Amino acid sequence: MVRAEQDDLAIFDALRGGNSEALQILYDRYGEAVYRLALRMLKNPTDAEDITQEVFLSFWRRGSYDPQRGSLLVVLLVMTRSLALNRLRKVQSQRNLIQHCTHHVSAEIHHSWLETLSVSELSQQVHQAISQLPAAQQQVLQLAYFEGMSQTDIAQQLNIPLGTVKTRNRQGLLKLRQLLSGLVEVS
Amino acid sequence: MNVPESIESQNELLAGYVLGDLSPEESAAVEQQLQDDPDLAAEVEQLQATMSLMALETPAVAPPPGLRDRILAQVTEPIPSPTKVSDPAIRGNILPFRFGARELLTGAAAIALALLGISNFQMQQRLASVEQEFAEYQDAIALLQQPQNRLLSIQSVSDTMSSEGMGSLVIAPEQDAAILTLQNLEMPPEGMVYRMWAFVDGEKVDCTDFVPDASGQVFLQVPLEGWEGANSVVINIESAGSQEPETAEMVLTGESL
Repeated sequence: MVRAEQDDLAIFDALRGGNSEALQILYDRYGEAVYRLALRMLKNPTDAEDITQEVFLSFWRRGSYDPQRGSLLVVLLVMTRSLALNRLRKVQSQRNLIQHCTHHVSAEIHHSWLETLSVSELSQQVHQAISQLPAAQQQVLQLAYFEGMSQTDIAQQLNIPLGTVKTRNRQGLLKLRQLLSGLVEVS
Repeated sequence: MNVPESIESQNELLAGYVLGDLSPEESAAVEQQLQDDPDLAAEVEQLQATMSLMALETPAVAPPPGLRDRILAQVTEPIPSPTKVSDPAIRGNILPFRFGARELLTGAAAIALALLGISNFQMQQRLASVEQEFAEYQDAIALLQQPQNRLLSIQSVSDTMSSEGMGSLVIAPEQDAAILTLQNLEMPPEGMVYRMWAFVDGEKVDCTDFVPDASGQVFLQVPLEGWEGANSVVINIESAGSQEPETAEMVLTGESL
């Protein structure tokens, strides 16, 4: 029996044991986050559904996951972004997306706030943190993350020097890391 | 490259690493430091988590309600069928990988980039994944090399599908398994799956249920349960849970070559 309040590792263990209830819980917990990212990147509900399905089924079929490498949410989001970028670049590789999930599960377990807050609670914190970044930093981070644009492309599109893009991107990420330290740091 | 003197420049370098904007030399230097310093590695993980959390900046939108059922339908066990292959555990065993020429090329490209010295974290992860997959291919290759194997060519017979699926089925009696490879296959309508039937001595045997991946490909290892002698197969679109003949639409057939 898998209960909805169990932590990521317990759910992952059940998933690995072929328990489809665990996939259900995982989907109920993170399906929205995966779908939202896919929708934002691909701007098309049909593609977003495809990607969401592919992410969860890939994870189900060959899920191996190292909790030391981050929470399940982060792993799923990394997979989603890779798949969506592939599709944006018209490279329909099923392969690359699993890059972050091929490690053995380690015995060391850690918990972070990422596991205990709901996606809507996390979203609220992320919104608040991003709104505290200077607008110029927000802009380059969003172009890089959601559109998958290179720094050179961003420099061209915004007509600013490459060095400025680089600085804004890095400073923005570091500031965000600080603002979200309560979520990403491991207790 | 020199090790940065200040914490600020160190952090900038790590941020650049996560954002993928470092030169190959800088990347290599960071990789080296990460191996030596678990604290730095943890910092990189946290920066990566931070970047991923940007996904939650998107407006709250619930996925369509049917999506959850569609995903779960693919992993929950179908209602036991009246044929002898009734145990879901021994029905089609979906191989944990699928491949196509394009993906093998992706792997080759990753190796080529690594050889060119473009070393970074993501690339190393990808290489590790390619190596693992290669080990898995070897199992499939061993199966395909059996001398008694028989090949069935699979062609589309559907008038209603916009794309024409095609592929092959290799029956390997010595391995008690068959490998089904299809491409260009449409996703079945909601609540429906592809179901393959084999004809053995005039009897129809249920082989497996499956759906293609997002790119329309199928690569499936199916246990041979009483149909190793099959000379032809059909693949229908049928209702996912039950086997009601009236809902079945034949879309592909396979014949011995």
